[in-house]
Amino acid sequence: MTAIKYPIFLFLFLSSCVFSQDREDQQDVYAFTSADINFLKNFSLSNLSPIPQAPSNNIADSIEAARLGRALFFDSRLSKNGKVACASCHAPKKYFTDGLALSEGLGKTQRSAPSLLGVAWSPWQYWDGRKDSLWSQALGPIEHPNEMAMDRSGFVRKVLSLYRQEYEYVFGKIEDYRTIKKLPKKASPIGDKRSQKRWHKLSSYQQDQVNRAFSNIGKVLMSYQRQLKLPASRFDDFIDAMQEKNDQGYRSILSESEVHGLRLFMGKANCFSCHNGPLFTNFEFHNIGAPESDEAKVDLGRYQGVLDLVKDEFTCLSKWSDAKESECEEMTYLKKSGPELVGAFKTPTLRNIAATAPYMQSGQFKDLKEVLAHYNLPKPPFYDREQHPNRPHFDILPLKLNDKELENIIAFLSTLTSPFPQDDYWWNPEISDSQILSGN
Amino acid sequence: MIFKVNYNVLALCLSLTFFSTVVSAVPSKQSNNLFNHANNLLDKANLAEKKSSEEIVSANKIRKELNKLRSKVRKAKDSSERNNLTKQADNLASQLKNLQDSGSKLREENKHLFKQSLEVFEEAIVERWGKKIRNRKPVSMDSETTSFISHNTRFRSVHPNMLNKMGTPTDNINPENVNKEMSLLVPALAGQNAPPDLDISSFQISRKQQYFAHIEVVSTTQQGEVLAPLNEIHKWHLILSNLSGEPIENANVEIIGHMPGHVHGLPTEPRVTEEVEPGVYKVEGVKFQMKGWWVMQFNVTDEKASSKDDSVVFNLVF
Repeated sequence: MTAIKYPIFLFLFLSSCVFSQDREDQQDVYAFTSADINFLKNFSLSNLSPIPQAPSNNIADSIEAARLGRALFFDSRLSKNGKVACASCHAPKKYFTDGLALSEGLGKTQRSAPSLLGVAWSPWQYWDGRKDSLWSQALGPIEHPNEMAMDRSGFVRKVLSLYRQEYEYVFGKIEDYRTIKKLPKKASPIGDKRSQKRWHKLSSYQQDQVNRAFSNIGKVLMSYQRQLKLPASRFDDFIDAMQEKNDQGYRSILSESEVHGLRLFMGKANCFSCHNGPLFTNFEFHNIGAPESDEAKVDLGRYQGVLDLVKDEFTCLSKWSDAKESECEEMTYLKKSGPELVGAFKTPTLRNIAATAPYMQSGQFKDLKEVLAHYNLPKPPFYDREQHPNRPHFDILPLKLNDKELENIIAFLSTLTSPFPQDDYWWNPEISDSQILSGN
Repeated sequence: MIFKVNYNVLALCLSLTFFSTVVSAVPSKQSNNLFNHANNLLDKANLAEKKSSEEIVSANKIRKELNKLRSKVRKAKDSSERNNLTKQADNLASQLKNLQDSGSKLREENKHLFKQSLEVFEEAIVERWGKKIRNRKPVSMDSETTSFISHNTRFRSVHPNMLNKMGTPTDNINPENVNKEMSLLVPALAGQNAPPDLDISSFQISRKQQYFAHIEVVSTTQQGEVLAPLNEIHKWHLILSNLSGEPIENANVEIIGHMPGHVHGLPTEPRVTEEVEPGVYKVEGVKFQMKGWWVMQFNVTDEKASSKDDSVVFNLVF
């Protein structure tokens, strides 16, 4: 008898859940079913998968390499005018962004600096994915005329004169330091015409010495970035408390408006569709029709990123990579064509999003209200026959939410901000190396 | 006389020994029979299809004549002419009905026979390729995947003036696809509306009926599971046979994958990297960045084929 009754009871219970789905008038916004809780745990940092393997960088997880990387990351002496470091555009206090629409080094760049938190999980770097590893990415800004504006040979000379001991500790003794010392200050295969000319005058042995050290420097910068851990935010505390069935506990962590926002984020607003997993991103490329910052010079996004990748001299498949060819599957099977590449940009993480305005690849939206307004009634991508290879793909649907709902989503997004970890050696440049040595 | 019989027995014994040990890869009698049977069914199916088309063409001709006659009836000057024409029209109408009935009956017969023939081809190819076919089930995805980093909803390309006609992400969710145990209505988990009668078999015949093909995920897990992973590059085997069960060797295979509901393709460019054994191709670089309905098309160019631009299409629903 009981065996029959039970399923009926269960059915009634389940059907009542269906009818209350996501309704704004739901009586208890905190009432999550065990299936909800099981689903939501996928978003907590405590459920983040281990950091992905990095076969192209043998020292990816070496602490010594990361320490050297940290020193280089904050060292502005390594730029042309002595004033720009990686940290200038990726400031820890701003969650490794700079708060600018277009980042500035020696000049103004075309894009806004993305946060570095969680980037180790991404198969592609830059907004357009023009680099296939963090070490290769790190090399880009060093030589970019509007960022650190260094020439490859001069940069290598400078780093090795300042950090020779640390470098040799990680990579072993430099066998022919004399070659490095004698290098011209300004020689680079991608610099101005004179730099390029000087570069081509170097012997292939000299060029190899420079490229080896240059890629190694990228690798220590990558090792540093892999050490950056995200501290749990209020959202993580909420989800973790729910897992523990700590009924009263989790209710006090997020406000009603924030929980409404959470329900909208996963439900009606469908933000979850791309911003998913503990890092709130799928690391894929999408065109959401964000306005062009310059319609006379459209940004082709991933389409251009793929063209750059194919020509890049520091990919996983290159001589400077530590990986076997079979370990470079993303590059080997790189998607090179398709309308969906045009104007597509990498889904950014929403971790710390409320603290990292402005938004989009070139800071087109100044605050989250503007971002949400775009998603609520988006304009399809700008299209210009002359400049675009084809009509860009469009990846979003209008949300048609009311003002209250939009406010709730913004409230929810603020729960993803991690507290600044004052005592974390990797986050805080003010902690000296000697302190970490005694701490260890 | 006695000697002759002995020779025959000896020859039979020898050929049996030879058959079973030296050339075990040669199609068995069983598989040959199955291929013959499958081909017979396919021929019948095609014949039914041909007849059905012919009948529908004739039916269309008759319909035109009938329309002409009916207009003549309306214009007829006197009742005898009208009666006469009406009789002719009624006669044609019944012919039309007969043809339409028989045409649709033949079409049903074709569908039935075609389905049957595919089933027998599958049996035949399994018999013929034995060990290479490890999974006969449709290609499916690990649903327990924890790193569900994927986007999964009906996105599409639009023209600017379409925008106001577009629904919201939750507007078109099929209630059957919703997890009823959840209070959260998550559109991205509701999947795509793949047609209910979609053929998702991992065994398919090519468009021009030159090849019969099978796909399966090459297992990378220790448990020997054959599930496609989400967001991970993985390998497949593609088995290509002609309709008599002979392997298609040295074929040039182009792979195109897309999601009908999203108007986008695969995130990678998979390709054939090796012919592991005659007719068995290793496909590397396959990756799915989301669940839902995928279509994988293999364009096959084979030197020996009579028609060079043939393709095999598989539907996958994750």
